[in-house]
This record gives sequence, C-alpha cells and structure tokens, in this order.
Amino acid sequence: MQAPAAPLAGIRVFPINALPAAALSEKGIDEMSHSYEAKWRAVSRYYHEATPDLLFSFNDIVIQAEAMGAGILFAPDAMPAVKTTASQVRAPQAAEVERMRVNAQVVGSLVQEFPQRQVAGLVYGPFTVIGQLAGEQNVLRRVREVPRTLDGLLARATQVAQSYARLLLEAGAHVLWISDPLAALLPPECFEEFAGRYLRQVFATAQDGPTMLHICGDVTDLIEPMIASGTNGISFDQCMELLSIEDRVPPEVAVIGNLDPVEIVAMETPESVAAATRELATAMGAHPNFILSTGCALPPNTPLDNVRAFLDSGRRTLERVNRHAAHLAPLAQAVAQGDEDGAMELVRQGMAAGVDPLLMVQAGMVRSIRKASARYEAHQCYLPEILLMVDAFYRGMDLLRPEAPQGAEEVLLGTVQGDLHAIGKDLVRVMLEANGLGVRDLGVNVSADEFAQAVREHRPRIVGFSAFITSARLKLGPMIQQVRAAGGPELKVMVGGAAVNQAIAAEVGADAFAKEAVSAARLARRLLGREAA
Amino acid sequence: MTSVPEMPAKLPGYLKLGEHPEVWARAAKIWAEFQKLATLKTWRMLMARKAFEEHFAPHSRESRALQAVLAASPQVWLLAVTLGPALEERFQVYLARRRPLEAYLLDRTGSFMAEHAMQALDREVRALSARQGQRTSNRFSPGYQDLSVAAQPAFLALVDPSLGLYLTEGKLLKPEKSITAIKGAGLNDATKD
Repeated sequence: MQAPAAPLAGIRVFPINALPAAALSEKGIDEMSHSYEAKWRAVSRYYHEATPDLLFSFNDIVIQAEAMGAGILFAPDAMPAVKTTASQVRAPQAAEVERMRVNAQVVGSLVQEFPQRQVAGLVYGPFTVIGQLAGEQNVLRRVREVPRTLDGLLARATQVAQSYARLLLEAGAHVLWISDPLAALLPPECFEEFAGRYLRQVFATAQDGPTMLHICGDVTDLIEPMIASGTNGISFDQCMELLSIEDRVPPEVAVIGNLDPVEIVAMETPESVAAATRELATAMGAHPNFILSTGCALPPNTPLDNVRAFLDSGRRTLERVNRHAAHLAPLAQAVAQGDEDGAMELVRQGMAAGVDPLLMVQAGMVRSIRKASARYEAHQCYLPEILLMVDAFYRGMDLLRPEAPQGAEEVLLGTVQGDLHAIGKDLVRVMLEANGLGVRDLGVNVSADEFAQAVREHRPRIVGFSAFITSARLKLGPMIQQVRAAGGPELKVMVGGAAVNQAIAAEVGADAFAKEAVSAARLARRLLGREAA
Repeated sequence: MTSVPEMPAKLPGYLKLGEHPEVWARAAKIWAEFQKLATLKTWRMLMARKAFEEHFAPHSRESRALQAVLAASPQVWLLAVTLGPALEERFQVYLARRRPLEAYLLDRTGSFMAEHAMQALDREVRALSARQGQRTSNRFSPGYQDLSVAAQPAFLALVDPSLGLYLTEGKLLKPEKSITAIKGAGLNDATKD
C-alpha cells in the first residue's frame, strides 16, 4: 500500500473537527465561539493531548449563515444553531466578520504551534448555507418547483464561502475542507446544478492546493458528482460501506472515513474504540489511497482517551497493513477471483515472509468477502460468486488455521426444535466464518434447553435461530426468552429462515431478522458493534 | 460411457450462476455428479373424492385452501416424487469439507430437479385426464397454507414403500428432495371448478 497521493501526503489518521476541545475549556461553547483566547486555549490543549495528522479550528456549522443574516442561538453547553432564517441576506467579506477572523487566527496559531502537522480550513458548502438562510424544506421544495429562484442565493453564499476560504488559506491552512450536509438530499441529477458547480468555485480558491469534501449521510448515488467537484479526497459518513464503494473512486482521489463518531468513538470504551478502529483500518488499510477518519465530527463530549485510542490504534494498524501490503493486496485479489490455488500460494508466501496470520485473514481474505457481500446486497452479484470466494477463503484458512489464534465463538447457531432444515443455517455459518466471526453450530432440531445450556457454557454474544417451518416459528418466542434468561441482557438474538420475517422477529423478541446468509453476516457484525447501523 | 445430459435451460438462472466462468465450471461438475447421485422415483394414485376425504380426515376438510383447489373434483390424484437420499448425504460431505459452493449448487440443483420431476408427473396425469376429456386442478401439498403437515402420515400410508419416503418427528418429508402433491381430477365442462 502506498501513502495517499501527493496532495494529501502526510495525512493518515484524523477525526473530523475539534469539538472535543470544548471539554478542555473552562469557558462555555458560546464564549469559545466568539473568543480567540478561549478557543485557542482549548484547541491547542486538545491537539497537544491528541495528535491527529489534520487539525481543525473548532468550527461550527452556522458561521457562514450567521454572517449572511441568519439568527443564531448560542449556548454554553451546545454547538451554535440556527434560530431564525434570514429576513435579509448579506454577503460580507470574511475579513469583516469577527467570528471568521477568530477562526482564521486559530488556524494561524495551529500552523505555528504544530508545524509537523497539517491544518484544515473548514468552510460549509453554499447549498447547506442557503438551507440555513431560507429554511431547508423551503430550499428543497424550490429545487423541484422554482429552481431558478435559488440562483441568487447560491451565488451570494458561494461568494461568502470563497471569501472565508481565502481568509483561512491566507492564515496558513494547508487543506481546504468543505462540508455540505444538505447536498445529500439532492437527487443525483440536481447535484451539479445546486451544489457541484458551486463547490468547484469554492475549491478553486485553494488554487491547486489540497481539498477534501464531506457530505453527511448516504451518498451512494452522489459519488460520481462529488468526484466531479474536483476534490482530492472524499470523506464518507459512517453509514457508507467503504468496501462497496471504493472501486467507484478513482485512485487519485482519497477515500476518507469512517468510524462512527457517536456510537463508537464518543460512547464506547477506549478498548472498544481501539478494536473498532483496528477492524476498519485492517479492512481499508490495503487500499492505496485511504485516510482513516471518523464518519462525521466527534461530538463535544467525546472522551479524550477515546480520541487517543482511535488515533493510536489507527496508526499502528495502518502501519502493520502497510508493511505487508505486497502480500495482502494480491491475497485479497486471489480470494476476490475465487482462485483457490492462488490464495494458498500467497498464504504460503506470506507465512514464509513472517506476515501476521491474523492480518492475512482480516486484511487479505475477509476483506474480499466483505467487499463481495456489499456488492451482493447492492444486487451487483449473486451468491454463487461469493461462495466461490469463500472456497478460496477456506483453502487459505486451512493453511493459516494452525497459526492464526482461534477467535472467540461469538455466535451460536441452530435450527429450532422440530425443524431439520440446515442449508440456510449452514450458509449463515459459512458467511459468518468468512467474515472473521467465530461460530458454534448446534445443528438442527435444537431444543430450548440445548440452546440455553450452550449459551451458559460458551457465552456467545449472539444467538441465531433458524426456522423454516411454522411449527418451529411458534416455538421461537419462548425459546428466545429462555435463552435470554441464560445469556443475560447483553446477549443479542437474530432469527432467520422461511418461516420468519421482520414483523415476526419483532414479535418473538429478536434483535434482528436476517433475510439471507450474506445480510446475516453484516447484521451480526452490527450487533457486535463492528459496523454502523 | 454415459454422456451427461444437458442442463435444463432454466437451471443456470435458478442457480444464479452469473458471469464467473469458474462458477459455471463448478456447476457443470455438480450437474454431472447429480446424475450419479439422484435416483428418481415417482408414484401416482387416483382415488375417489369421498375415499380421499375419509382417508385424510380431518385435515383435508379443515383446509379451506385445499377444498378451494379441489372444489367439485370427483376424484383426486396423489402424486409423489423423490430423488433419493444420496444428494443430501453428499451435501453434508461438501459442507464438512468446507466446500460451500458445491454444497449450495448440489442442494439447489436437487430442489430444481425435484420440482422438475413433479412438473413432469403433473403433465403426465393431466395428459391422462385429457385423453378422457377431463381436466385436473392445480397441485396442492401438505404444508401449503392451511393444509397441515399432519396430513403427511396419511399420505405416506398410501405411497409405494419402494420410494423410501418417511417422515421425521416433526412431520418433515425425507429424503429432502421429495415432493408430495394432491390434485383434483375428473373435472369436465359440466363440473364447476
């Protein structure tokens, strides 16, 4: 794996924005938002404690809308928010706006204080800003009904964004970052008209300097228009499965993302944050132009220990994957092609070269299975193609198994008592194993007592019930109750099979319904906290 | 040397073979293996409706869906097909050897060909009825809609034992690639469907 292409070279790991700095300030967020001293003291302290490769100046999303006339609510314990839309829209120069000058000053101070690191100048996209000025629903309706009425607003919002971008770049910002969350709601055919061309104008202020674009939410249908904005890197929200979209991003554009900033980084323990980071960095580290980041801004209450866990684990994992990229990338490719002999040979070569067996499993083989699974769920390939890859995965695993430490059996599977259908359950087991999850399979015709005993003995984190016939389905509710009593409140339950559906899953008290084997593996990972919901 | 018959035209689509040449190559091998493992046996019996209702009581009467299918049929065909036990035995071997693609292809091929065999048997009895100027109804099986699998023992009591069909404790039909079906018969233009 190479480091990201030249424009973004040196940037490997960073969380978006600097909002956790608020916890390090004696002042409230309202004062931080207006005072250079308050902001600088907090942000510099934050970046001395946490060491990302890209620094931000504690940006709030309403700064441009405020400058253009929106009424803003400031509070000590919350980020600034739009209170009232603009009755009259202004287009001031950034240098005339006090809060923009404060941010530029902080950018300049960051550049001086941390000369080894790069600093982002963060501005918000014009489409997002006009949504704040005129009301988001109003703007979205006008996109459909009276599109030309937005031209003037967009032009002025672009002017202000360009002016602000120039101010930040002149203060020393290395990277121009644009966040444009409202653009996620544009239909793909409207993106260029209402966002893309304006983003290009703002990016032009960077004058061939490095740029990054972040649009929150599901941008599956907007990737190509986002690339057309000319950005050097696309930062993806945590809801995006990077493995499924990486092939759509050209090699010269960095794929950036996307650990869940709230559910994982802010709310989990440092150990869990490190594990989730490791998993993401292992899966994506082999990509030649990947930058590890969060899926959106870390919230202000994110514990510093968690930020450090993210950065440390991310750096270590990327370094490990990078060191062995020459073995891992071809191995992933062999599995992707279902080339059993090729996979086995590459595993032998990797073992001879001292590559960590677990790394070969996760970054070499599981990566391909997960990527194919994402394509399958997007209806881009069929199950036999994935099973072909799983065959190659298993051949590689046959060689690695003596060396790779056995993971915990996190998932317990079985077909419900009275039901002998096995193939659905068996395919689920196969896909779970191919996704790197340890599975204990109790077989078919499994009674509630057997499930409960197995839960007590093996302490799985998930129990999966398969029910293909009505009589089995009727047993599910009481079975699940008994299993939960044995496993405790943390135990997760999945159900699947022809006799079950989403509604029945809810009725019987399951946590998830898996329609088929490939999605079962993804749901299991989600229940284990390894994928965003 | 016995040549392997061509795959039925719809089987590749059913198996969702896609574009990968290796998947197609494996499917061809499994198809050849299927020829050796599957032992097709079929059975049919025509009964008077009254005798059918008595034999399958109370399940046949309790199934509104079955009664709707049979409607005014004065006679009933009972049909059974099986491909034998070797397929699922081999399926288990593939799974144990961690060859999920082969396991999947063999299982799905078995399901397709069992239904293929039942459709052929269905056509046969329709042709027989047609020769007498009569029609048959659609097929219906124990386990469909409100016809309980509890009707299966009554069914199997009539089936030729040489087919090797049996039921599990939960009334599941074994071998797995087996189908039983009920069709109304003796319908003509004078008989209201």
